[in-house]
Amino acid sequence: MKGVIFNYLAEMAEEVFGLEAWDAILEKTGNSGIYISADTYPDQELMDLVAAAHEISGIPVDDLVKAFGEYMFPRFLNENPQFFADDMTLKSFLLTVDRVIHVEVRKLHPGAQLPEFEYKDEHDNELTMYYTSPRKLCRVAEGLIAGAAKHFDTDYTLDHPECMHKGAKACTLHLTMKPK
Amino acid sequence: METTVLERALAREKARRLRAEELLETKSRELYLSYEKLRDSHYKLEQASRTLQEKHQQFMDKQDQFLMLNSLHDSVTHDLRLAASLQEQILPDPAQFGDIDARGLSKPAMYVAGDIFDFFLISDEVMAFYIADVTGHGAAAAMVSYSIHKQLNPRKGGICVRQFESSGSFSQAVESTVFSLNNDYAGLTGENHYFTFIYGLLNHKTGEICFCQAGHPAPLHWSHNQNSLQEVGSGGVPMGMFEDIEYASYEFTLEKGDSVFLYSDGITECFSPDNEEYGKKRLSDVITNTKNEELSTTLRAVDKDITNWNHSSVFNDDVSIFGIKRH
Repeated sequence: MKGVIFNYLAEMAEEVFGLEAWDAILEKTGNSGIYISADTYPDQELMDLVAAAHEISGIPVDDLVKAFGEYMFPRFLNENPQFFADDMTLKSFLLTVDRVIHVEVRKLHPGAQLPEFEYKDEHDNELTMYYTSPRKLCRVAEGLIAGAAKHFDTDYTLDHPECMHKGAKACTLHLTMKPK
Repeated sequence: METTVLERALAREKARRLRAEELLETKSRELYLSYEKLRDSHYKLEQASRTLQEKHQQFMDKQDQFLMLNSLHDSVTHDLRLAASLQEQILPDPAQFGDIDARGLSKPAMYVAGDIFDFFLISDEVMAFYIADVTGHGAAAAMVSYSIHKQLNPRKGGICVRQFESSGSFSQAVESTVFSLNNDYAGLTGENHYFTFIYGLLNHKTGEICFCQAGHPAPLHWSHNQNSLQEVGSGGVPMGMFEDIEYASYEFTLEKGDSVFLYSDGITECFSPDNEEYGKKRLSDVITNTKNEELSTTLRAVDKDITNWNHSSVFNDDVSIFGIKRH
């Protein structure tokens, strides 16, 4: 996992829970807390940090992970404005994630292990995304979608009927956008 | 908040910055090395591009040269075709003088030939004849052969007429003509003016023949009375090599039913695709097998046989033959 993700997590923890809580999380996990954005760190380290945050805050892990995804989105937007065209909608943006954004990310960070998305796009206000990743961080994806919806000022509902955590080969994320 | 928490956060931040600076330095070095490699590649690419441009220019120059040569080739080919047409016109038509028939066959290796032959009357009773094979073939050889033709042409005051009129005998006339012609060419420099040659006179009423041989294949004489084909002559030095050479003459009589054939080595030295020489024997067989036929039949038979042997109507050397037959 790239250090930039750890740094986002540290920022969020400091903002939401405070510096003392983040210090306690680090102490609990024994992690150094020193992360460089472009470096790569073990996935398990992130999982340990989330688990410790859950223990200290009492917030369920799924909610924490989703909140983390939502927290990351505006930062991602701020650092990569080139991926956001003026005429984009939530749906058209989500369709670029696998075909454009991840392609560019792989150029910047060779060897980056990114989740893969397949799409079913049959109706104007609906989109089904099939998420696969060995990390099974589908809640992060949900959080990122929530962050994107906020950016595009779009109300939506999301169903997650099939999940890799429940043995499915891919997570099905079905979005229904509400017209304004 | 405990001071230690802040201190630890600051220490983490400091360590992170140090690590980031180290990483930045490493990445900068890597970036610089990549830049150098890129610069080298760019330089090589520029060199390759220049080389390619030079090659392209060379190719264009070659193409221009090729087009020019092609144009020249077309022009030369056109000229050679015209020359071939003219050369064909100076070859003699079949002729009959008394009970003598004469006719020939000519096949140039290129458009024009270094071979030439002719026969013509130089008095009421006397027919002159000659055959020449100039070194090489093509335009240079054809120019020499045309020059020979012009010097011997009776309508242009050729030397054969002058020598005949000033000589007391056939042998003197023949020998002095060949002597004079040889000296005309022996004085020239270069290599393309050598030629083998036979020049002779024939009294078409008596059949008396006298000729000089200058390195040319010996004539083949079909004797009706002896029922045999024999070579007459024994070689001699080709024309144009040395000055003041005395050429000996040979005499025999062409009896009724006899014939004589003069030919160039393009016939006997024609090679089959299996690299086998046609040879004198095959030519002799064709002549013998058609001994009772008209000259035209014999020459057609030679043409067919040599073309079959060559497996093509395009020959590597000029092919010439002409015959004289007494009825």
